[in-house]
Amino acid sequence: MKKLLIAASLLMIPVATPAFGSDAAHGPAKDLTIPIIATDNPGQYGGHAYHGSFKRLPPVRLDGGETYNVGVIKSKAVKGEIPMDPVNRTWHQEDPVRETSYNQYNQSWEQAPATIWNDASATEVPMGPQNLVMPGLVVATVPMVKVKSVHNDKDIAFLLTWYDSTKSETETMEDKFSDAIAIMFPVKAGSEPSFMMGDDENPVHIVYWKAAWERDIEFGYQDVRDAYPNYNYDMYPEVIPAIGQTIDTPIRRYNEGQRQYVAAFKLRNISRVDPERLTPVEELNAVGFGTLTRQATNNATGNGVRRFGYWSVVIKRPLNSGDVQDAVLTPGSKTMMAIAAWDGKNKNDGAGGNRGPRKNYSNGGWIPLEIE
Amino acid sequence: MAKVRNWQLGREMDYPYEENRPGRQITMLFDLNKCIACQSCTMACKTTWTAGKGQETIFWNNVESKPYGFYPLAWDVKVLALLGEQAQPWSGNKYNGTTIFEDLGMNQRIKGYLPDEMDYAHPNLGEDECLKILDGEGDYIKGPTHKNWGFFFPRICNHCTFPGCLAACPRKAIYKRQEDGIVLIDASRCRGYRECVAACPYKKSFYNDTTRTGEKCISCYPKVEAGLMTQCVTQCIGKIRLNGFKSADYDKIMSKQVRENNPIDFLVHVRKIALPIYPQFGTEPSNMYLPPVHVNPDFLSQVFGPGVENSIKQYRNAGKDKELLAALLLFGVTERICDTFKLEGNETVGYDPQGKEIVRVPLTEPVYIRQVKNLKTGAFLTNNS
Ligand code: SF4
Ligand code: SF4
Repeated sequence: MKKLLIAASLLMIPVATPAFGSDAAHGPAKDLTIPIIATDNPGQYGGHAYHGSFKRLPPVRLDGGETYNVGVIKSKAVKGEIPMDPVNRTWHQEDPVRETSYNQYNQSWEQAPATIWNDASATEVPMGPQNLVMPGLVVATVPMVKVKSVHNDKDIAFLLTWYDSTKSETETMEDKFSDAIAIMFPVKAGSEPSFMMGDDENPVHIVYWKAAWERDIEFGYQDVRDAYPNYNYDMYPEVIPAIGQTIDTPIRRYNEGQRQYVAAFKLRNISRVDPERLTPVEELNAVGFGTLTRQATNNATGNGVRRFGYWSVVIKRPLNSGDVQDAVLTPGSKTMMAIAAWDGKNKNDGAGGNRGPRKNYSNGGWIPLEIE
Repeated sequence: MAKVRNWQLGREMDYPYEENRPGRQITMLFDLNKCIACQSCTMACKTTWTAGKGQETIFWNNVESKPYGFYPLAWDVKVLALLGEQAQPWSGNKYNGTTIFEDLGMNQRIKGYLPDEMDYAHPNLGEDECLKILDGEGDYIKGPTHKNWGFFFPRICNHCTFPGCLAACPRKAIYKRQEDGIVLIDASRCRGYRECVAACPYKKSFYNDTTRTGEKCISCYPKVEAGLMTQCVTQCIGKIRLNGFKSADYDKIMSKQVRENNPIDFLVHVRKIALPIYPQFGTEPSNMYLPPVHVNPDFLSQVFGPGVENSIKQYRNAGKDKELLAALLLFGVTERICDTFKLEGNETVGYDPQGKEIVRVPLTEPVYIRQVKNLKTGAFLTNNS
């Protein structure tokens, strides 16, 4: 209740809000939630200046982070379990007018208890448009990803934070694509695969997170009724009314025979149709473009949240999963990793949003990874 | 980009893969003079293959009313605009404009566009606009008006020789079968990028909202493998369709070493009466159309290329041209694919690959004159008493 009152009283202040203030008398509309992206201006983010990204500080302290590494990602050794929360969950009430966040006691983010990520050093990875194989991007749609990493003696986790003015988390419509991010490692320790998804001799190991899967887990597998709440359809031939099924019966209840009407489901293409999904990430291998293949066993987990236009995604995986297809990461060693990011909303040439090769990748390819 | 030979364009063109033609090519012929837009074909396909959850707006077969009907909305107009609306010049049988694989922008693999999801919801918005009664207030389409003509345009995937869908797939999850040229999506490898949906100039690759994968016409391959024609052909009430195999070898096509006794080769390559749909897109579509004779020839030339005049001339003369009539009368008379046909006296006969007779059709239907009244019982046999 208190929150609502605050929000309401603040809205009385005569600021130009996007809904009202676009005519000449009020000046241009001020979009209160979207930081200004200026590719030609030096930016400030977390106290660190660079070219080509956001002009303003992120409006919320997502994960602390005063120490920055340049050109290397450092994984900090920590004790105990690594929690999956990218930001402190109790501190996530948003106040778009004050551009801050606070908890239920109206304490602002400065008072937020530290998470495991606060003391980990950060690396800002500039991203470039993939334009080596077509189709690609002309300009980067995710210009920068901030990476932090921690590990204990069992697992290693990465916190990836980036700005995306639009939340794209449905793939249940023909023209909608999901925001996503992926991290990649050489499978063989010491090998140097092509950063273009590996090569014949040197496979790569990829862990891929997608916003649409996050939504599937939170709200259940998204189907036509979720995309089109008012739709109607006389009857699907696979539905069996005699056992109480209707057009809204979720496909996970379909038996093997019924699944024949949902071909990719019957064929167990669980990268696409997985009504029993447990984690918003999947593990893949590749030996070059066009060879991406999902692994049979998934050892990685993930969790992504969105605050003030920023995605914060934690991807956690075992240091050594025992799976020969996975990269083994050893504390005290140096290896490398690469990043790819997709803005599902961004249409570059009328052929739809970012997906597949229409992506951003870490500029220069591989980034050194030092595991403390 | 490789250079491939496209006989429909009369020239070489760019394509992301090397030329690789199937041994023979499944082909569907459509006689557009006979289609009545009953949509039996659409429903035959829908109930056989795409009635499941997630396929609500997917029609592998659709029939649209030209010039203003589209599925999805404005598909051909939009693709033509990508090629340069008025700039698709032919000199004789050679196409001098660009295809969807040529003259690409810097981040493109193929020229295409992804339809809006609503484009599938209102496929035929404006389709009746060729009727003068709808002119004026309330018209959806504001543009040049034309004399009253229109035709029904049934369309399925063209199982192209150079498929845009296949070329666009970054996963290489789409393949063309060597044995019959059918183009299929591997539903277990698809990652739902919808590059095929954006790239297919005919908009015959679709997205399933439930499985989040691409789906397209499979040319009823279980039937075709058994020597049968597809569902949309055999259910066609207007008997406007014919299924069969056409020669696919480029050199043989160009040197006219095709099988004259094969109904498809005869109509496509010997008589050249069946014409490709939008050949300028560059995919070398396999399905061929007999253009409607009463439609504006400029419009037909834009859709079917330079062969329209020759085709219409022959069609108008078909009554006197027994050989042509023999081939045309095979449309809609049997479910089995005819390998060869022969004109025998006043009958056309279709044969299977073993040379066994499948069907026999008279060129002229026998006429029976029914009596007005049954003289024995006194009952009326007609209603024009
Ligand atoms: S018509 Fe479209 S979907 Fe069919 S083969 Fe050609 S490009 Fe592919
Ligand atoms: S079934 Fe035949 S006549 Fe009817 S709409 Fe389809 S193609 Fe035309």
